[in-house]
Amino acid sequence: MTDAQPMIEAAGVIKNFRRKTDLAERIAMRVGLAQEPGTVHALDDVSLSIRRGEVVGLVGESGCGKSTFGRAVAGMLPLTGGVVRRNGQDIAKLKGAEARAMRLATQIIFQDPMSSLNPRKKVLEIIGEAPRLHGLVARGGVRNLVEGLMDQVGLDPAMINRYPHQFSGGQRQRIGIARALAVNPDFLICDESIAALDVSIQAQVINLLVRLRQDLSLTLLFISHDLSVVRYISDRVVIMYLGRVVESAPTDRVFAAARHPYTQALLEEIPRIDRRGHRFSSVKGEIPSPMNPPGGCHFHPRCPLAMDRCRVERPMLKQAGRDHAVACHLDGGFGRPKPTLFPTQSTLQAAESGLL
Amino acid sequence: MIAARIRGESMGARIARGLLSSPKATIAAIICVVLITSAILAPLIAPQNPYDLTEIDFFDAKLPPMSEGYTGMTYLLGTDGQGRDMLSAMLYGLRTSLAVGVTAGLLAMMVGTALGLVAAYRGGVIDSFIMRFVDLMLGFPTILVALMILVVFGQGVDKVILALVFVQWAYFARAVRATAMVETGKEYAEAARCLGIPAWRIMGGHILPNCLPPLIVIATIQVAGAIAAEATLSFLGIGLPITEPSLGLLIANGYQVMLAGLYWMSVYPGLLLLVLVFSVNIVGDRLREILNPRLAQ
Ligand SMILES: Nc1ncnc2c1ncn2[C@@H]1O[C@H](COP(=O)(O)OP(=O)(O)O)[C@@H](O)[C@H]1O
Ligand code: SF4
Ligand SMILES: [Mg+2]
Repeated sequence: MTDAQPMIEAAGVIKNFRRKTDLAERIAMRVGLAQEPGTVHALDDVSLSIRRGEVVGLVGESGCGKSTFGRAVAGMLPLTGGVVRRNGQDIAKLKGAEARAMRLATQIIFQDPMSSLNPRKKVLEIIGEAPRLHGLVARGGVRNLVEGLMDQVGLDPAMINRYPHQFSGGQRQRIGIARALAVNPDFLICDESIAALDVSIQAQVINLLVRLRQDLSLTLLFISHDLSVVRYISDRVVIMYLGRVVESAPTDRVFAAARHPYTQALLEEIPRIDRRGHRFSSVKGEIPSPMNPPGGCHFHPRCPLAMDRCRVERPMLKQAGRDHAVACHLDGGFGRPKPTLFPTQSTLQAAESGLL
Repeated sequence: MIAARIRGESMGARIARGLLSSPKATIAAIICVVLITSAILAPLIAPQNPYDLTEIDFFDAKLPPMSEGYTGMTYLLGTDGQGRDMLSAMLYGLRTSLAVGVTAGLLAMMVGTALGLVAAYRGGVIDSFIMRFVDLMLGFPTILVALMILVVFGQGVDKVILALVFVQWAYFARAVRATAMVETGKEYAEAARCLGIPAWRIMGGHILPNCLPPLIVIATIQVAGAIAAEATLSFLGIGLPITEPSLGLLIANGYQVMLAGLYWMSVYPGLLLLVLVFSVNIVGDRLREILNPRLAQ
């Protein structure tokens, strides 16, 4: 494996969802009594590469297509267009044993610690089922394996025969992590994996993921709607808006020198003192529906710097520095160099003291 | 239900506690248990074997309840036109009715559950196809469809069961699909797919166990429905053969002489059928309350 070849490469991935129609609806549409159901453009030409060992944070408002991207990369969704490659191979073209190996090598850690575990199964079965079924462990070794995994994620192996409802939210999330690790993946997709947990527990689970990443040399796609959460774990941050990647840069650079007005707005929205006081939804304006996205730059209805061109022409992702890509027409396609948008108390103070 | 989960109570314990907390349901459940036990033990507890001609005396025909017969035996509920002890005939009839109803209900449950699960899990065209068929089945009057099947295929226990399964599977399919759709959308089902667990195993081992509560309710109510439907078919003379009279056939036989004042031959089997179907339904309704998370307190 050379460094030049990314471990995961999504190229021009498109995913549309059409709401299912039944026969009666189709007839009604045929005779003009009902409208064609809208198509949701969940992923609109998304390209993103992940290097082996890298932790990529994927950030965007709810509904912008983060989960869909995660499912697409995991090979769980048929794509409308584009390809996802793993080590250079199109994962949709794999067959038989190779397809299974690829399926197991990518695992998802889900959001909801309640519904992501089958309430009628014991921890032993939840974690041990897949490795037993795939012959990754000898028949008699399942209990041992599960106990080892429980220990690894910080659960008391004595609780092996308990049911999910007997655990706390954080413990359940650890069970979900152990279940994923049981099939020896090298790539984990954490889809809002800590969003449903108490703040105090969030840090513990993040620390666990950081430790596991080091111990098992995992590659991580860390999905969150909260920019401040990905900061501590990601090497690189990718910002999505309405099914498109708008900016991608190393984490430090995103926080110090973001160029897309949307990213800059998100940064301004991270409250300086009480980080949990605000949510992204307070970026000015409502997030438009992915069913009927605005033309040109999707962000233009909310962008205070929008120009005529923004309404008609889609800005393409453009290199704006080493490892830094941005999709914005400003400054000749390199986006806005300084985060002077939406001045808040803190930026004003910073400006006064000559920091910006 | 959530509270019960947190207490770590098993489903069996929850059902038992729920039934006992309602006096009406408790009585109905006791009646069900007594009736089912008597049906199973009929050959042991019935005063005579009503279908062994050597035990029946024609001279005892048409005796009213509490009469002492020619043979010296007291007929608690009278005798029928052939001198058969009504109580014994009813116990054997109950046995037949229950056996047919439970067999048909369970078979319909298996067929309907399998189709409902596949419809929910596969979705798309398969789902549409199965559910069109379900809608069609649910749109026809049960007895009419069953009658048509029996007219085409002829009589017999197997044909009656076939007809009952045919008209009942759709109720199971509809109920299981609705729950299975919700379960399939949950993250644990997606996690199972991600872990490469085969589809049949996800359906049977992961989703089905979570569909059990509504399934138990529907099964109870459909067994009651099957018993009533079988009785109707037999009453109409197109159900079970005379050699294995169910409660429905006993009612039909007695009905012919009811206007002649020989009420007991028809009224007692009728009452027994009523009590049976009623009790099973009350238990079913109570199960619905216990197992439905939306109705739970
Ligand atoms: N299975 C689906 N069927 C139809 N629409 C879907 C489906 N999954 C996601 N969507 C739609 O696609 C868009 C992106 O969803 P999602 O990827 O879940 O966003 P996020 O994870 O960023 O909140 C949303 O508008 C959502 O409603
Ligand atoms: S392309 Fe135009 S509308 Fe879009 S972010 Fe840049 S300036 Fe704003
Ligand atoms: Mg999501």
